[in-house]
Parts: sequence; C-alpha cells; structure tokens
Amino acid sequence: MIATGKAGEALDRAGLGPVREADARRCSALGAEALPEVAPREPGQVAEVLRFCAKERLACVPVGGGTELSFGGVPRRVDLLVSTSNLTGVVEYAPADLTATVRAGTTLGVLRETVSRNRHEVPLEASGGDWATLGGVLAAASDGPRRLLWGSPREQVLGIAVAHPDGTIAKAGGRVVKNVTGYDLPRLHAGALGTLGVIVEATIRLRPKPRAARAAGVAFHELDAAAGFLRAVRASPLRPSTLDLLDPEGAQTAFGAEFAAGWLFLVRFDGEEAALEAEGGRLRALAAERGGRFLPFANPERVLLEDPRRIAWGGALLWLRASTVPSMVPTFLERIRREAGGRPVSALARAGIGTIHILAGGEFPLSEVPTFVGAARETARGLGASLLVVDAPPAARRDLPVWGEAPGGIAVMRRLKQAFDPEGVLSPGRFVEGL
Amino acid sequence: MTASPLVRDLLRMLEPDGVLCEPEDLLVYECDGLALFRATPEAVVLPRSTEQVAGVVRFCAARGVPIVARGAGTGLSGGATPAPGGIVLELARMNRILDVDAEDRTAHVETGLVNADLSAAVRSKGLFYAPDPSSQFASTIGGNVAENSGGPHGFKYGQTVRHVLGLTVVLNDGSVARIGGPNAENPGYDLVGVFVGSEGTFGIATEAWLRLTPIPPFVETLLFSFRSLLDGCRAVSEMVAAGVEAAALEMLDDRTIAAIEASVYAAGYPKEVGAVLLVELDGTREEVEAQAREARSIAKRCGALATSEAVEEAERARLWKGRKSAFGAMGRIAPDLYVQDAVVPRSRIAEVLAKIGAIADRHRLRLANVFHAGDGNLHPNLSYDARDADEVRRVLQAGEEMLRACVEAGGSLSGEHGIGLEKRDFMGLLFTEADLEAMGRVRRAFDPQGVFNPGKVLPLRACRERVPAPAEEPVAP
Ligand SMILES: Cc1cc2nc3c(=O)[nH]c(=O)nc-3n(C[C@H](O)[C@H](O)[C@H](O)COP(=O)(O)OP(=O)(O)OC[C@H]3O[C@@H](n4cnc5c(N)ncnc54)[C@H](O)[C@@H]3O)c2cc1C
Repeated sequence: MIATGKAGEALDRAGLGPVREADARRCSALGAEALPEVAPREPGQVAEVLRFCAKERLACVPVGGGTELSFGGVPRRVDLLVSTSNLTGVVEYAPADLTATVRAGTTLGVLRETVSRNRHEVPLEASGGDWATLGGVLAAASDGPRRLLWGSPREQVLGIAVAHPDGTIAKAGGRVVKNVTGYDLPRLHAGALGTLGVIVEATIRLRPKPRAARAAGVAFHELDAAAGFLRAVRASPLRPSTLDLLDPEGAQTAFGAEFAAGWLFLVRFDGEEAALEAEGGRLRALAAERGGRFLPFANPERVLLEDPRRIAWGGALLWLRASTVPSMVPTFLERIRREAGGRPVSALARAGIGTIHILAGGEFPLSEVPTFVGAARETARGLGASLLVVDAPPAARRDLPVWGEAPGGIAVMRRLKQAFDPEGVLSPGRFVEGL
Repeated sequence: MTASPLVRDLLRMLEPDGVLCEPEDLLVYECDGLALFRATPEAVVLPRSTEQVAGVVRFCAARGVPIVARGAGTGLSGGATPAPGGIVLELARMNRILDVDAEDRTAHVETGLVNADLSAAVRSKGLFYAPDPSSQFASTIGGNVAENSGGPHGFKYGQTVRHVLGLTVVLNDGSVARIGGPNAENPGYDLVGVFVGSEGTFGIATEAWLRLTPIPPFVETLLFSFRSLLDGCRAVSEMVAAGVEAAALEMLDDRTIAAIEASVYAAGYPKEVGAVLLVELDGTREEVEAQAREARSIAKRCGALATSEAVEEAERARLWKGRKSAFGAMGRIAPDLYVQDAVVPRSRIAEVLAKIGAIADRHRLRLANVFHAGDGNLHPNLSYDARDADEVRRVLQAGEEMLRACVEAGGSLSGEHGIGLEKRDFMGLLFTEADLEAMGRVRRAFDPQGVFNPGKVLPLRACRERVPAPAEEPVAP
C-alpha cells in the first residue's frame, strides 16, 4: 500500500478514492514532502471530495496539468491534491457556433488538436503550453503573446461549472457568445486560482484560424530607440497580434547568436495574405526610421514565446511578473535592469499589453532573492505597477510577499472567500492577503 | 408639501436642488424604458461627488432604506424601477471626463457621463469608445456598466465589460473602493468583471477607467438582400466560420423592412425580400478589401439578390439609416413597443425565428425582427397598445414563449438588456437552485444587507440568506 497519509486513508474509507501518491515535483511546488492525490472521474465526485474536505477540515489544492502549481503563495496547509486528470473530454464542440464545452482536465494540446480539423484555434495560451489544462489556464488566467489579438483569457470563457465545498456544482454563463443572464461568475473564477471552487467544466470561444501569419524581429541597440519604435507602432494603424520586447539577455538566451543584437521586438501579424504584405512593409519602414534592424522569421510560430522561462539562462530560479500600462514598459525595463546590476536577470515584456516577465537564471545567488524581489517591488510601486512572484524556490517563497499590497475591494474579496469556502479548505493562503 | 424626515435628512447632505420629493418631479422616475413596471420613490437624490454618494449610502443603509441607482433610465428590463419605500440615486450630475490618456488609450470618467459624449470628446485624438448601444446618445456609462451593454459593433469589439478597466464603487457601508485599474492585470479576484453586468445590485459605480479604441483608418459597409431569412442566416454563419471579422453583422427581417419603408424613415431598402444583412468592415484598406471580397463571395453563394456598398461616411450612414430607425419605425405602427432580447447559438437563428414568428401569429401580435446576427442576439419586437389590457397580456405571454424557445435551442434570456424585474422569474429556466445560490452569495458579498436594487435579477428566494461576517474582517475605512 502506498503512503498517502491520514487524509488519503480517510478518503479511501469514505469511498472517494482511489488515492494515489502525488508526483514529487507537485509536492515540492507546494512546499510539501509527500501528498495524497485523488482524481475524480465525474464533476459530481469533485463536489463530494470537496464536501468531505470541508467536513474533515482537510486543506486541498486543485491541480490540472500541474504546470502552474507554484503560482501564488505557499498554502498555509495542504493535506490533499484534487486532480482533474480524469475529468477530460470535449462535451460539445459546435463548429458552426465557434464554441466548445470542455471538461476542465482536458489539455490545451488535446483541445487545439480537436478544433484544428475545422481550421479553428483556441484563443488561450499558457506557459505550460499543450500540457496546461483548460481548468488550470482559466484558474490562473494564464496568457501569452497573442493576448494582444485575442484579449484576456477572461474574455474567452462563456460559461462555467464549478464544484464548491458545500458539495454543490454551480453553473453560470452559458454556451452562447453574448450573454448577460445573471452575474458574470466565469469572470470571478478566472484568475481565482481555485480558491472559491474547482472549475469542472467550461465553455469557451473559438476562433477561425487566420489564413496566414507573418512574423519579424526588430532589433535596437539602445532602449531609447526601442521605446520610440514601440510608441510609433502603437500609434500607427498596425494591429499586430504579438508585440513582445526582449531585453538583450533574454534575446540571447531564447534565440542565440542569430538575433543577439540588443533589444529585440517580436512582432507577428495574423490575417489575410494581401493585408499582411502591406503591414510587413509598414513595420519595416517604422523600424528603418528609428535605426532598427528588421529580421524576418521564416516560421511565424517561432516568435510565440508562450513560456517566458525560455529567456532564463540556465533554468529559472525566480520568475516575477509586473503589470503596468504599455507606455511604462520601457522605463520599467530600464529600472529593473539597473536593479539586476549584472546578475543573470532577463526580461520579456508583452509590450502591447503591459505585462513584464522578469526571470532570474539558475546562477542567480539564492541568498539575494529576497532583496531583489524587494527592490523589484519598490520599482513597481514607484511606477504604479503591480508585481507578482510567479515562481521561486519554495523555501524562499514562504517568506516572500508574493502578491504585494492588498488590492482595492479586499473587504469584498474576503467576504467572497468566506461565502464560498467558509472552512477555508481550498488552497488556504495561496491567494492575495492569505485568502 | 412638508418634507418627510427622510427628505430633511437627505437635504442636509446635498444642495437644495439635489433632492427631489414633489410628486410631479417623481413622476419621471417611476419607471425606466420598460414602462410595464412602475413604482414611486420616496425621493430622488442627485449627488455631485463620490463623497455625497457615500454619505447618502451610509445614511440609507443604516436605516434600511433601499437605493436604486439610475443613469438615464433607458434600461429595458426594469432595472431602474424604484424599490418600494426607497430612494432613487441619479448620477446625471456626475458627468465629467476626468482624464484622457491618448498614449495608453484610456479615459477616466464619472459614470453619469453620456456614452456618446465620450466618443465625441476623444475623436480629435483619433480615438473612440467602442460600446455603442443604440441608446448611446442618452444612456450613461454607469448604466452601460451595470447592464454590460452591447451594440451593433459589439460583434468585433465586445460588450462593455471588455472596455472597463477599473471602477470607483461605493459599497453598502458607504466605504469607497477602487477596484481594478488601467494596468494589464490587477491582483485579486476580478471584481470589475463581476461588477459589470450586476445591474445596480452590488454598489454604486461613481467613476470608471475605460479603454479607448483607435478609429479605424478605413471602413466599408455592405448591404445584402436575400430572398429568405434562411439564406441570410446561412450567409452569416459562413462569414463567421470563414473568419470575416466584421465590425458589425446586423440583420433585418421582411416585417421590419416593410415597417421602415412604410414610415417616414424609409431608407430605400429593397422591397419584396426576406431579409437584409448589413456587414460593416473596418481596419486597414488591404484588410477591409480582402474581407469584403470574401463577404461578397459568401453572400453570392448563399443567394444574395442585390448588394450595395459604401465607403464614404454619408453613403454608409444611408445604408445604416434603416437599421438605426427600426425602433422608431416600429413605434409608428402602434403606440408602444416591447423589445425582447434573447440569444441563441448562431447556427440556430433561422430555426428559432420561425418559431418566434409562429408565436407572434398565434397571439395575433405584430412582430418585427432586427438582430445582431453575428452573435445570435435576437430582438423580436412586438408593437402594441398599452391601453389594451388584453393585448398587454398577449405581449407578455408571447414574450415568455419566445424566451422558452430560445432557451430550448441552447440560448439564454438576455444578450444585453439584462434581467432586471422583467426576467427575474424566468431565471429558473436556465439555472438550478445551486446556480442561483452561488450568484446570491456573490451579491451578498458585495451587499450583505441588500440595500442596492432589492428584488431585481435573482428570484427572491435566492437572495434571502445572509452571509456571516468573517471573523478577521478589517474595519472598512
Ligand atoms: C431606444 C433604445 C435603444 C437601446 N439600445 C440598446 C442597445 O443597442 N444595446 C444595449 O445593450 N442596450 C440598449 N438599450 C437599453 C439601455 O439603453 C441600456 O441598458 C443602457 O445601458 C442603460 O443606461 P442608462 O444610463 O439609461 O441606465 P438606467 O436605465 O438608468 O439603469 C440601468 C441599470 O443600471 C443601474 N445603474 C445605473 N447607473 C449605475 C451606476 N452608476 N452604478 C451602479 N448601477 C447603476 C440601474 O440601477 C439599473 O439597474 C436601449 C434602450 C433604448 C430605450
């Protein structure tokens, strides 16, 4: 028999098993040695497991692909993982309506494959790529380079079904693309990290795959010139689907010598062949005006850095994400570079959106993590940005202010948590202000 | 008239002209755009600042006086109908544009601002505010936020929720919270996302940070006519599937066209056709031209009878004229108009419209359909005479049957007008007790005492229970 602890045995006795031992990486991401894991086969079973947890005061963490488990604070307590790995499959794919209703444990890879037969695409991205599950992507509100074209992941959720610790499953939204019937609970659960309930099913929007795509890099020696180019592109009629900016270290790590030419923009256009030709020409002209080097990519998929960790030299020791407005991106990059002061730190800005991923590489001194995070947080505060620790070694994470200052409306957030999870069994301590 | 104690207290918080209590002043506040529901408020307050709103809310909440927020009162689901014994809080005087950031394309405004005034104010910067409800020359940002309003251009640009970045809200204890903001992401639960569309039941929004959109460099409007609605719907489906990212995809049925052409609003739409489809494309010239080619070839394949095209603004306005005046033209047929609003999966529009036609005929009602075809958002319009009690009864009966037909086809109760009072008791068609309980919990987390817009949106049993206050709850500032 495997060692699944008291919680595991209790679940087994209650007929809610089988209980297995969770993968070691998952445990360590949550700062635990070993943990039992259950993987219910039906949405109703998820609700039963949660009800059991509430009754027995067992703290549980929902897990999908396990790709974002380290996101957020280290939970105050974990007794159990509730996996959606057996909760898979496309419930309804309506090609003519461009919608799909999917069980939460279905991976993006499977979903992408399923809809590609009709030349559709899933307007969601995640650092875990194909391995991320739909439930996980929504719970973490993961995004990627094409958010500029698609909008935030919250905009893709049309309907949702969520299992709660009172043993119920509540639906909200629906399967249609426009809907104001009842409160928009899909938005509430998107980005809530499963702290209000476990997403068991969701209906999302799909998009027709664009007929064509083009991509180019535009490289600048100086950040000032890059900032001017960013302003010019944003003020132009160009509508890129991706507008990322890598600092020199990030560019070097992700693309090697090929594009190692300073500050590198990754720009992609999706659309009609004829329009792309013209947009490419305009982009080239804007680059030339500011002394940028125009570097066309033969394969437009290559510019899509879905996983920011690709810019971290020697693996990612620490991953921070700042959120600001696009005009502030260059200043933020400059300041954070100053804070890094020669240590292995690289940055990837989704410059058209205003998010900035900051990665400290494997050789960054562990002991300097807290002061660097503190300095990054000060930088963010000074610029009106927010800063979040996405990943750090669990030992360091425990003492780091992962979320920063209390957000506006925290009193309402506390009451929401209290209303949905009165026993505090859903990932206690993982969310803002210890929720 | 001697002022009631309530009014005397309110007057202490506001200027003398900031409180209305005379019966003739209260008359216009008895209902919103859906005149089927009426109630008289105790008083109407017209605050000029967030502080005044907070003062009024604190005062009323402490005394259990319900508060109904009101923008312009153009709502179509009874959302702004006063609550018995309560006051109406009208935001019309809080209509300033506080800041416009052209580089990051955001505007910070007070919520009493009229929707169209924002676009007018930022036009010189090459920007506009994308949500464009047909009521945009009257309706307010606050009302749009509360209803998550849409408009013809919502097909491409999305409904209001996509354009609201942050809000200043007055909560039920009179505290003021700033939720969200212009940054790409904000830590914590997406309170802005759930506040939008909460129909005045969560709190009073006094300020908003909104996303502005660049005015597209090139716009083309195409008008196709079809022998039957079925052909038109097929064209819409194919366009959506082919990725024609139209700014708008609007359809008018034969009954609507006949009403328009018989009215002073005659737009010269082709007669004797089953449907007219308006397709608007915007973007760069190359993009628009490529998409127009695609749209034309799909329309032709689906049996389009005639096509008009326009690029110049005046010409485009001519093509839009019929669509924009559809409600007015319908109003000429009979004194009153009931605008139904429901959604179906876009592949089932034609089938559901056939059922809707049969329902109207069975109840001997005059029906016309104008709808946002791209999103499957139907607007069956019924003309009637409110003085004819039997006709009113038939209108309501037909309205309910139409909703049921939409729900049976996998649709929903409202695409943009909200639930309000009108559809509150139909929520059970879509949602279980558990679903409604989850919504009730969210409502009580925002408004534990039920001060704001009581009796709206959720069937009464779902609002009953109170949330226990969390132990570690900090004292709100
Ligand atoms: C001719 C006509 C055409 C229309 N066309 C469309 C259309 O194309 N698309 C569409 O979506 N709707 C349309 N509508 C409906 C209506 O205009 C919208 O719902 C609009 O958003 C209401 O705005 P308002 O300022 O009039 O709000 P009101 O009617 O005054 O209020 C609506 C709701 O919002 C609440 N509220 C108002 N202000 C606030 C605030 N500051 N904070 C919190 N709650 C608040 C109220 O309590 C109420 O529940 C139309 C209406 C008419 C009469």
